[in-house]
Amino acid sequence: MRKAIAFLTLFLLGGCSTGTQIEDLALILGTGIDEKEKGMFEEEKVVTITSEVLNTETEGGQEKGASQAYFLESISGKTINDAISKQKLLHPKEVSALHNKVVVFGESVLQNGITEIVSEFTRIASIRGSTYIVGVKGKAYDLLKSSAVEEKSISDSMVKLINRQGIKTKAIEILEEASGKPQDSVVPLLDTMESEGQTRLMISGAAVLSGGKLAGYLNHKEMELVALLQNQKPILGVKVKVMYKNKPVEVVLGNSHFKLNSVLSDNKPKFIFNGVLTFNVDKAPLGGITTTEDVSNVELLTKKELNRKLTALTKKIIVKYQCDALGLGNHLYRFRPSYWKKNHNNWGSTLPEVDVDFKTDVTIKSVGLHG
Amino acid sequence: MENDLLKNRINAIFNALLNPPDLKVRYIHREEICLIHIEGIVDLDLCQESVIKPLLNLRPDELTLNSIINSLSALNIIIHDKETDIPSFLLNGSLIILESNSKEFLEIQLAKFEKRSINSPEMEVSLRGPKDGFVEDLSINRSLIRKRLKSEDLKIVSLNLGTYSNTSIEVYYLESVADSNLVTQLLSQLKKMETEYIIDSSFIEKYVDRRILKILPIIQNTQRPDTVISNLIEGRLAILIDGSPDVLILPAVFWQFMESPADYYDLPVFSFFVKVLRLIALFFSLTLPSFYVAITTFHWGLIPTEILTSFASARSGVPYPIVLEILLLEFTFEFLREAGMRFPQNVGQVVSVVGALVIGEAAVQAGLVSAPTLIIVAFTGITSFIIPKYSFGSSVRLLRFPLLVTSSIAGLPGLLLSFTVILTHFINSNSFGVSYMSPVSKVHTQSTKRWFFSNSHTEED
Repeated sequence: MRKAIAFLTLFLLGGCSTGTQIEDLALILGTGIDEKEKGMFEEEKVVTITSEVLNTETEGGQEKGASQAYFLESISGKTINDAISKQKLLHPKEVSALHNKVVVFGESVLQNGITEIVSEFTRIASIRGSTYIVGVKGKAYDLLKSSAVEEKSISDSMVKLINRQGIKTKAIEILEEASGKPQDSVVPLLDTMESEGQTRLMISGAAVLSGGKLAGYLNHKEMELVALLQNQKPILGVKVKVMYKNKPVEVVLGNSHFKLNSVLSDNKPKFIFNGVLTFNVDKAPLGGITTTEDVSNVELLTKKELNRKLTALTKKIIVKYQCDALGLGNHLYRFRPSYWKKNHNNWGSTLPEVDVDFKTDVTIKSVGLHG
Repeated sequence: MENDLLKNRINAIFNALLNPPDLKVRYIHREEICLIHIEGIVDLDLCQESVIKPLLNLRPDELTLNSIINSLSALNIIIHDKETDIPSFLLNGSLIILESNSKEFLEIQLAKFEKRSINSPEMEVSLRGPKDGFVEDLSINRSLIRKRLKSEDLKIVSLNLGTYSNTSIEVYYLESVADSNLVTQLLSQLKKMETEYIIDSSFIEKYVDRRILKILPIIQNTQRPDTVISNLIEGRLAILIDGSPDVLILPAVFWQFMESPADYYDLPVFSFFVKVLRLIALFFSLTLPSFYVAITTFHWGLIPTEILTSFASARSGVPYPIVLEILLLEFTFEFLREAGMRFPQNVGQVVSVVGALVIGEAAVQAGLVSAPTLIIVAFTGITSFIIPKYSFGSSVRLLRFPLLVTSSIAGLPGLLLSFTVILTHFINSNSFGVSYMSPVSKVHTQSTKRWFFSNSHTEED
């Protein structure tokens, strides 16, 4: 009897909610967002969302390749909300953005600020916090239209490209920033290039966002250095070129770890990035580096060159772009709370003047043949 | 006159047994002595050597029952005087000797019923360890146990049950180890049993198990003498029934059903691995189809995108909901299993090949079912057969269906709730006073560890 009641309760608790079968879902894998002014005189903006949708009818089955496995659809509306509602009306299936992996923002959107859009998008379309945020010079639609490798999903290719080579910025970081985390973000910038008659993807650099708005661009090498400072992995191909005995020597990064420290002197914060890095010799003249003395000399040169590069990058980000992408404010918030409490209101004006130093410990591990 | 008297006695026997055609009578010594037996259940060679030959050598003046006894070389000779018992002695395979001058008669036990030779049990195969199995004959089974357990502590209680079949039943236990309360209780319960016939141990199993909801088995059955010995030493009771190779062992709890005889013989590390594997298989066998239904109907977010993509494509042509698809395949699987058992051995294999490969492949091609669902059901089917004890495996196969229903209605919360109900039933059940989930129902590290590490006898023991 008790078991019968238990089962009855179970049914009542569960209710009779009708689930949706997976084949009745319109799965969105990637989204691009563009914005443009409607006309010269009207103040209204038009938001276009471009979604990559999985075409379940043809993928997999016997008639593979009969038509495309993924298709793009663009819907415009006054706001994001408007566009998403329209998209839901358009589909005979239930639109699900749970598997949305990447959101691409066009240049115009980046300039106007993405914070609000990301928060709105996560709420309405319930995308995940781990969705990658990507910027593009130009229109997001054009990027999504470019072809992926081997007829794969373009969103999938983007994610793989970013995982391997780009700086990873997730939707959750933008939301954290919006809810008061004192750190700006750097999003990877994707571009296209022509190859074998097809338009292919590439990472061209990164966009520095200050308060969600575009502050400036970084090139590919600078982006790698930012990722290095943020301890993101894997960072491939960070190379440092030095002149040793008047001949060029190139070293490539093996492992690295940076830790941010700070000291307060005269009520002014000073930041020190302590880094431990290992490099391998990539290119050197034959017999150029043979003794331990050579190695330690090259280590010293590498260290100097790396510090120079990092200092230049820091200058560019915090002085030129006035952006806190390196997480300096966040460090103060966490480790110097009393200082932060007093001074966080004028952090914007203090930031360009702060002193950032780099103390790196460089070791060269391999000098021989490097695979 | 005397001979007429003898004939009357024989006629009475014939009448009592309703004139059976296989009742044979032989007179010797000028019809002074008469031998009666039922053909086919008496060892005739032995009878010839140890009874008839010595009888024929007797002199006419020695024809008294006592001198007959002295002359015979047979082992079991008893003098009786109650003539109404003769039919039952005959039915048990005894030879009866009547003598014209005496009212008493001799019963010579020469029974030889047809029996199977000892084979290895098919249902409980193990690579290592003894290979002999019980047969239908109680005395052989007894000898298989006696051979391995030469202890005065072994107590055998014999009973006869069934008004028609008059089946011999023996309850085995070790006097010093077994729970004496359980022994008394079981024996008194068995003595009260009123039944017309018993042809298999399962009759006793059903009678002894007095629960209303018999979902989980609480009595283990085995055909392996080594399993019986281990269980006797571990303090359990064994019930042997004449005519059945299955020996009942009780009490039996969850972990016993998850054990295979090989666990006792393999290296502890390996048997630990296998036991964990079986627990995982049990869990999969219970929940995998329900989990699949729940996540594909309610929680698509939990599936990795790549898998979701292929699931969605595979499902796109199937015209009915996923739960129906699973049920369809589950029933097909059960059909195949049942058919495979009914068919003769050679045909059975063909049926499974046809069922598995041809129907499965064709059904996917025709868009009746999707490939992922087929894989899920097939995998679940395989896992349910990893459970070593067949009776427990069947119970688990049935428990899968309520889980499937709740998860198709309420998704993962439904699955979790109904799984909890089943788990509660497991924990609440007990087998003859022993908690079904013991030893893990109480936190007792030592015994749990011991179970997992294969009853290994370490030096501390």
